[in-house]
Amino acid sequence: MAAHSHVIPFLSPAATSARCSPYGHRRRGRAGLLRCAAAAGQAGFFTRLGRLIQEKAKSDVEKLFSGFSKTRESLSVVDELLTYWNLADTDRVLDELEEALLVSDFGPKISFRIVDTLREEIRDGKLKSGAEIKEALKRCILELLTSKGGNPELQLGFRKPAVIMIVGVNGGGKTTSLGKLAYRFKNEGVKVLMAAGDTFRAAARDQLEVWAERTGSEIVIDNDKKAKPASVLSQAVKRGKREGFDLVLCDTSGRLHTNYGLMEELVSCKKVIAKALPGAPNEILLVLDGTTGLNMLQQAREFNDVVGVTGFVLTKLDGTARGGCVVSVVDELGIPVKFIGVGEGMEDLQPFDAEAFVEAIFP
Amino acid sequence: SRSGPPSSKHGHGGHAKRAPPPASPVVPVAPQAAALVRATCNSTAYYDVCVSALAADPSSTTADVRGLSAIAVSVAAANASGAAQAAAALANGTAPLAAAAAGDGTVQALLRACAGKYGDARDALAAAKESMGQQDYDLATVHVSAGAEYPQVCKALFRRQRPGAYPAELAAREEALNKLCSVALDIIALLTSSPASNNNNS
Repeated sequence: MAAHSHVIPFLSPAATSARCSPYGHRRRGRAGLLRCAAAAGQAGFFTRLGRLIQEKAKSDVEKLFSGFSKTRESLSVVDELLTYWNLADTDRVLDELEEALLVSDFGPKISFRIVDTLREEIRDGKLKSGAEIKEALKRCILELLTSKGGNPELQLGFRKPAVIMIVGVNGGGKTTSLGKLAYRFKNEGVKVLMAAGDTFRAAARDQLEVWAERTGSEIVIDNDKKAKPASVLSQAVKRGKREGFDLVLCDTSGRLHTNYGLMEELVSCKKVIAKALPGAPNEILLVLDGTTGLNMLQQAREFNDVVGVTGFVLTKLDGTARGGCVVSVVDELGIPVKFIGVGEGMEDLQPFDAEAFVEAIFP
Repeated sequence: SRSGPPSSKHGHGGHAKRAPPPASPVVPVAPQAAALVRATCNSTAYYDVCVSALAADPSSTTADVRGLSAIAVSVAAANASGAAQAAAALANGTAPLAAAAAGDGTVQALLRACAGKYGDARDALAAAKESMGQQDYDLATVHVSAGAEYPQVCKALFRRQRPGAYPAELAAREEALNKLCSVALDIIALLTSSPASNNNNS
């Protein structure tokens, strides 16, 4: 198979003035013009940052490959099915392919759609061998990820500091993911400020302080048990502006709908960030635990409905054979996966590359 | 199975405790325990399922709400485990009703996939138990929800490939598991919505 020469860049500013507005937001012309002017001086910074991280991601493709070893093993039955495929066996083979996809947590809807597409192409004579069917399968999945997934690059705007809100269920790896993100940015020379916005759990503040120390990042923290998350985040963004930080990473408290009032805290946090710095937050990343499989969809819908998610960070994918959930969550929500966790180490939070992912699970 | 970690704090509130009957002062625990189970189950969508599930575990007589939620999750996990074994037995032709599937390779493959999915549900419920032990109730909610969701794949597969062959035994187990997970979720919700629970987390 010919290698794809084009690799989607992980991080870069918009190339044209039409994309000066932050991802998912529309601005009036005047504000857009002002932001374009601001971009002239600082776009270079994010361009260079994007290039460096992209190059790093390329050299780390092996991490991605090894991280999906369980899913790849689970899906290896597909190779066996297709190696001995012949036209008379089409229905049986496609049924078993469908099962393999479902076992790996490609959701029912997407699995059925993929198989129906393949069946139609086989019937039309477009696919004449097992190898061709496999390539069509991979192409289907890649198209789903790239067409539904939107822009997988981080959209950090054109002014410093960029602001990223990290949201997700408590215990699901949110604070750890924030720490690993900080580590990655720090390695590229970014001046990072962390914000301990989970004021409900002392353990979360303590954990974030450890990450700040480990990554050499500054942190805004309020140890008062009655501290308001919105207040902490507002202070952090203002300090980020005042002291010239490149990036503010905002931790938040992760509560589900069972405690609606606290879910509303996220809305307040988002609003005060926008008030402290118009256009921020640039990204709202939802951290999802990959071992929860298709239940990620439910979490994603709930957080998206409340606060508006711009990208996913999927963790613990190395610990599960259900890596197909990556495709399901993108297909169902139309929100891109931006990072995936494929191990316990500091450098195991990888920028998501759809082509590398498809190759990792269907080599 | 073991109940949740012991705690001197009580997650429930809003219910007046009944005074023990004066004629039976030596057994004050039973009425109070029964009252707690009833009050807890009243907050769930399936009261009868809840009461019978909790009553089957002797430790429910001394458990607080957190302990009751752990029992509910354990019962759901046992149900999922039983369903995984039942599906595997049907697939392997070692179950009484397996005759219908014996000659159909597709149904056998579907049953193996179902066994895998109920196994995933069992694992998710085990993860929920672990999360509850760490008082990560929101994450426990996620895992219990996952436990209820995995069996839906089994049903979707049969509906798609062999609509008439979905075993009645699996259909019954799916319904039971769904209800047990719903009960567990409702009880866990009591823990995450109570002021005492919030104070415990701060």
